[in-house]
Amino acid sequence: MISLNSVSRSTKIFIALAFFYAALTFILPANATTKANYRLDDAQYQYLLFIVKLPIIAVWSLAFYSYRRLANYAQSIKDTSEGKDFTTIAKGMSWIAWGLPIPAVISSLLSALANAQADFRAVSAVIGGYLAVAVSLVAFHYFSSGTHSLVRRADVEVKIKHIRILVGALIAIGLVFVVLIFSKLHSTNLGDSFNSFYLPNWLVWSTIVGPYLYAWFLGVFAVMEFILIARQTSGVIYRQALQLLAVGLVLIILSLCALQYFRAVIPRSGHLTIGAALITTYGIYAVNALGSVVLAVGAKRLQRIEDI
Amino acid sequence: MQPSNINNSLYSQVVRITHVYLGPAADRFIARQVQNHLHKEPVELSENDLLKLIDWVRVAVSLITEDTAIIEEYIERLKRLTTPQPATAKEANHAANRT
Repeated sequence: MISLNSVSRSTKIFIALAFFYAALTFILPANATTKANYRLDDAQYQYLLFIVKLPIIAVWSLAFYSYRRLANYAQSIKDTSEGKDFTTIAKGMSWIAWGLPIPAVISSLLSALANAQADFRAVSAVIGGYLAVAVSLVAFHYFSSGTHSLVRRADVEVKIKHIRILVGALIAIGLVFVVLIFSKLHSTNLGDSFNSFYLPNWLVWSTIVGPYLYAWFLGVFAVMEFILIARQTSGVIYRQALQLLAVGLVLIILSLCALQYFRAVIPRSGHLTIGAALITTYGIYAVNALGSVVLAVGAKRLQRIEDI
Repeated sequence: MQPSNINNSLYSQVVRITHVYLGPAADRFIARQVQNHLHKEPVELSENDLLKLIDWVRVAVSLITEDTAIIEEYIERLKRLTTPQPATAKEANHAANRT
């Protein structure tokens, strides 16, 4: 039996946030566009939105659980040489765990305001866009710092072919992203803000595209380094657990990159649309959830080595 | 419960073998087994404690992994410390490959 006192404060806040997000479905006014598109009354709209939100809340919960597992492991080895690095990686995971629900709640509230007052739509889109960029920058910075420090400590060899693969992948991802964003901007005039970001083109390039590309570079670099650590580190049993952690981290980082990529190319409309975009988002979330589960299992195994 | 720089050859040998299986966690793991189950400081580990330590290590590692082949290999290498033999080149290579 779990007593309320044994539940950590952060877990309580997370649960409250998830409930609040679910409750917003029934508190905020129904979106007129969605109701008209799908011919729904208010109650039908709210139940549909609630069903759509449930898998997303499940993904957040798994991300939060895996963060707690990793943070507990980092705490248990905090006085060791690699403890500081795992604490840094756990900080990155905490930004992911909180960076999924908090922007979603803020976006829900802003979207509701925008639905009531059309002038607010631009503000809502801009704040939502920048929140996503900020979360990915900070989270991937921590992942990259932690894994790079682990690589140096473990004396892991990074070969030139690894760097070539990494640079090649990033150039490919970057080029496609730039082309897709360019096609969204409608105009080559740098001052024009007639786009789905509601920002002048020069601001889109400098504060959305540039930071995203930088964040993804950090994320993919962290992925590569953690894979090398998990492959080259000593200890057969330790390595098995670390490899699970690596697989989890890889799936989480890549799915988040994919989600941000997708959201940047197709920004949120502010109302529910059941179609290819939603299915794609669910697919990416499913990969993220799988990553969270694998990461939690790996962290649990590493923790067991320290507990026994 | 941090292992310190213990200048004990038997303890070092146990940690060195354990490192092949538990990597960076080896030192802490063996220090905990000695302190919690033998109620001694790692520096006090003696040959008389070795069999008891190996039994505890077997129990502990069984809780970490279900791979019995790895567990048996690990235990077998620890048991060899009870009857010291010069390591062959083949064994040294094998240990190096596992790490």
